[in-house]
Amino acid sequence: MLNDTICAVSTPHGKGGISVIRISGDKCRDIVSRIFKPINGSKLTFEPRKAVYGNITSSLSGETIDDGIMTFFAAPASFTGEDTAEISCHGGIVVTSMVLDAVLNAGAVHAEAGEFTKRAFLNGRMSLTKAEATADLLDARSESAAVLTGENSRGRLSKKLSEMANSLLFIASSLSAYIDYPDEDLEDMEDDELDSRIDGLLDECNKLIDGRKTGEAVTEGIPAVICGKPNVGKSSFFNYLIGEDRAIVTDIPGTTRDMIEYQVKAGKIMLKLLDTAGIRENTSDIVEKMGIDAVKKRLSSDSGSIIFVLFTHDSFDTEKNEFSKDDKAVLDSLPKDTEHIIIPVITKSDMNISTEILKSILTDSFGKCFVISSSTGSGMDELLGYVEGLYIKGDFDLRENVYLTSVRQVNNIRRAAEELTEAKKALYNGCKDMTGIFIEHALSAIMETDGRETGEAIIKDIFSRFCVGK
Amino acid sequence: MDDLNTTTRFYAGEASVIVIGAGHAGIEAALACARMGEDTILFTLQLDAVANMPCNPSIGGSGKGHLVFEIDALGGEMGRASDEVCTQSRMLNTSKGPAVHSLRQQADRRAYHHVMKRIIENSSNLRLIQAEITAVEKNDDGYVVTTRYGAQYPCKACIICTGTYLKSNIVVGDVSIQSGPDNQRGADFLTESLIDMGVSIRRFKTGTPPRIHKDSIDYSKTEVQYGDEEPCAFSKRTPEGAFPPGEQLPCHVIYTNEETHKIIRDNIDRSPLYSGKIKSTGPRYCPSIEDKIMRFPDKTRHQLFLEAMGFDTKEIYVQGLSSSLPEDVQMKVIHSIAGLENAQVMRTAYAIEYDCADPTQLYPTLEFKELPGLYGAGQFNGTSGYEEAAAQGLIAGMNAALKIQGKEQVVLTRDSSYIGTLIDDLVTKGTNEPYRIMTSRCEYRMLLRQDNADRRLTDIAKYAGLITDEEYESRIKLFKMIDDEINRAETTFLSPNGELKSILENAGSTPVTTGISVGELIRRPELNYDILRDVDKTRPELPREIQKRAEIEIKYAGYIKREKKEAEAFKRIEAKLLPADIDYSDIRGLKTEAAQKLSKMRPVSLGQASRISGISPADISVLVIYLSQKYPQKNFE
Repeated sequence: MLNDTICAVSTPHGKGGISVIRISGDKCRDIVSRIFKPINGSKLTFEPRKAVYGNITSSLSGETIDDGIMTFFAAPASFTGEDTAEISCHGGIVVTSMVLDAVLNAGAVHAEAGEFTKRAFLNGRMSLTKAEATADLLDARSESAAVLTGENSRGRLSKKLSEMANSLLFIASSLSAYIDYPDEDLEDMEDDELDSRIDGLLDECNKLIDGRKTGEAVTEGIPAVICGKPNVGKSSFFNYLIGEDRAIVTDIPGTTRDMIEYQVKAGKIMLKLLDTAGIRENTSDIVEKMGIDAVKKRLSSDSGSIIFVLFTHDSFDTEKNEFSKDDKAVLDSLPKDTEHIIIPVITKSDMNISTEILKSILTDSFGKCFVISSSTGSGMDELLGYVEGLYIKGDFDLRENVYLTSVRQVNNIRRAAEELTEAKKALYNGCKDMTGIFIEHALSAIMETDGRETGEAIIKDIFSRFCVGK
Repeated sequence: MDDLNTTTRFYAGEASVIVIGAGHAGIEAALACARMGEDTILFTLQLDAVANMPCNPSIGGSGKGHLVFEIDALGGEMGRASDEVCTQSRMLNTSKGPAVHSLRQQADRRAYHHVMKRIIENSSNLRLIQAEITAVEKNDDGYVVTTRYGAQYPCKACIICTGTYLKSNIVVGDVSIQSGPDNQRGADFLTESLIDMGVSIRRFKTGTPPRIHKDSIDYSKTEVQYGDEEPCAFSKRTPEGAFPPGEQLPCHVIYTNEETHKIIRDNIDRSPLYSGKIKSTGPRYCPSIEDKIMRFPDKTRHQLFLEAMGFDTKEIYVQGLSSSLPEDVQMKVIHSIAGLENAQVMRTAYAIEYDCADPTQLYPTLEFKELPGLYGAGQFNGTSGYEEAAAQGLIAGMNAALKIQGKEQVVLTRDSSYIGTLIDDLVTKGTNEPYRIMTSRCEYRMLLRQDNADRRLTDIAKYAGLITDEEYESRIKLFKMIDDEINRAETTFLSPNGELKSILENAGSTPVTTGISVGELIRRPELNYDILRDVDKTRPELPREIQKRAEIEIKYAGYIKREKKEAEAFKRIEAKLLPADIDYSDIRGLKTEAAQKLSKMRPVSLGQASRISGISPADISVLVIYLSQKYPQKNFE
């Protein structure tokens, strides 16, 4: 809750030469006093925004853990709007955890994901759009994402949205002017003009929604799952993709405990590799199928998830001219919708057994097929390049376009697009009064994106995004 | 004035409710109180100016028509009185859809005064007294109202409806006269006693155009605008056959021209608005002609309307020519206009400045938050327009009486009415200029139509006791007839026979191959209720009103349902009432400015809090978190 003083390691875990531990809340000074002693033996004065060099000691044993720099930011002039301290200590997992423990033992509680940003928002330190962009920045695990969210933070998106809001405002105010002043000699906006203005705005909305796919791929990552019959090479493929040093385990709220996401880079985009116990370890068909079902269920809420379907040299019997029983079962279990992107992959190319027929059959059915080896890495660049290309077209420059970076923004723009479609329908039906109402709705949908308008929906959305008030 | 303090004060009798001002707000307030059984006194500065229309001779208009229908539904008087003196009736926006149909009637100004005065004089529980009120002071049981002659009247509740008369000043060029509208005396002392009680006072400005003699107009140079062929009345209580009261009078359209504009530009330094003589805030909604010309230099002409001031007068109101330019410039301006070359001016246009209250000091009941039993209504609350005033007067009066009777006061929500929207805007957001209702202020327009005003407000009218049992019963009967007809149309299926086929073909509508309900057909854009008469064999003989209302409900059912759903969501947050004892300064994480604003505004619900300007979604989140911790049983999330 807002009353706790929270702390967290705010640099990537176990990477880099320096770790920063951030502490925010009422008891910040008290907690820092307990574990941080200036090297010259003087008393901590908590002068805002001044770096102090000192020893970090365990609040329990009094032993010195590390030496480092502490910078204090007094409320409300801090990121969160609360008293905040940042302690920089030496990097590395052991030292960092010991310092974090010391802070926790001194009375802080561990921050939940995004809680610093949430506090910044709740304390009025940033607007909703900015808070969401910052939350993305803090989460961003690839360089491109940092660029993208940085752009957002600087208000490119806000600017785009306010342009759209102004266009809508123009229509809305035109329509109401004629209604509120029917006797004035105003030139009523012709239905054709109205129609084409609505079309223009719909187009903008759709561009933003489409661009969202790229934004999502870059900042959040595209959910991806690996499936295939037993011993086809799923584990090796999986391990190759996550690579030991690149594996970052996140516990995404809402996912089941037995499903873990691994964030994997594929060029400029991220993949959220979903790992289920069923897929990786079990050999029984039924369990494997259950695994796929579980993943499918998880994927049904995402649109455009990727499914890597693995095959190998024994998957297709060229004499009988058919897939093996296990591979058939895998093929049957694939989702039939167009929402998912299915990518067939033939593994174990290092065994040098010809898979040309299999490759041509798979290419016929799926429009593509990749041949890889998880042990030599051959074919992997081609595969990952293809995946990247699904989301990033041509000369990709994140600075050129405006991207929606949060689900709430996408929902607002979707809503605006729906309202605009209704506005068009009402116009065709000769109900100009309703056209006006729908335009106003679209406007409020877009305005809310910037947090300028309040409403039940915003409050509801805040509560679904931030775990508060319970 | 020294005598103000030395005049012998004497007890002159008491009243349950005292209403100060007998304009459009005061009348509705006083009538509501009297009809609800409260002993009421209505004070006016001038008995001959009761229900005066110091500006345009018309009632209703876009959005305002809705207000009048709602006033009528709540048992108010404005619509019925207007029907009795209507010189022209026009339904506006008929091509735009039923949500924004608005009725406007031109009204005979003097006749309106007579009708209203007659109604007041014939009301039981109501005394109409001519006196200037110089002070309202609080005492243990309520308030004491003092007149200029020293008469003192204690009362339980007091409603201030001073319109534009409070310390008013009229301005024409460099001439500034301490006066109310139409050269009536203003009320020059009351403001001080309100300030003494802690009321925060502001100064607003409005204005009116000139009146000219009908015979001096060259009508050959005007375009004529007639009333509707089937004129519509505002009130159900207007007896059939009594409306319209006479042959409808036409209005006429004329235009300013480049010469007019040049005269104004050449003399703009003599305008008190531009010289800085007038500093108070005027409304954007009815700008003066000099404002229009300076703000829209590209417009080559501005439209003006010539409106009759009544059946038996030759005074003509020149709508659109409001001004505070010096009289010699006004003359030149008028005479530059085609049709008005020889116009004889009967009343000069003027601007008027007056004191009014900051409406954010009021609860949505229109009672002052810090002064229990004191209410404000009308232009005193910062609005503009007769209809806006009457609407507030009715609500203030109703609530003052309810309070005295120990009953719960009524708050009209935004989804219930234009009146509710108007009051919520005023008390929640405040206003920096005289406020006018606009259709776009109202987010639930498809629900809040003129035609269903009675349906939306009958329960409240009944609760307050402002309609008789017979009236209530007859309304319920009417609603049932509408519902029955809707049900019949939705459940009556027509077979695709030749008769239906030819009707569809003639209307350019897609043919049908299977049975289809009458309702479904009415919903087609190219069809309507009347077209289907011959094939809809089971259709009963129904009054026109019921047919029309059923048709709207059927045709727009989808839209209506959609808005109802939105209104439900709105109601949920509106129903989250904020505890009266909330200490905003105690809420951790709430910005100081937000805490101060909320402490000052004391919103009644979470919904109202969220609409206060300067209160951000973040503030609301913090508030919700605080509330759900402090009052876990109240379910604030």
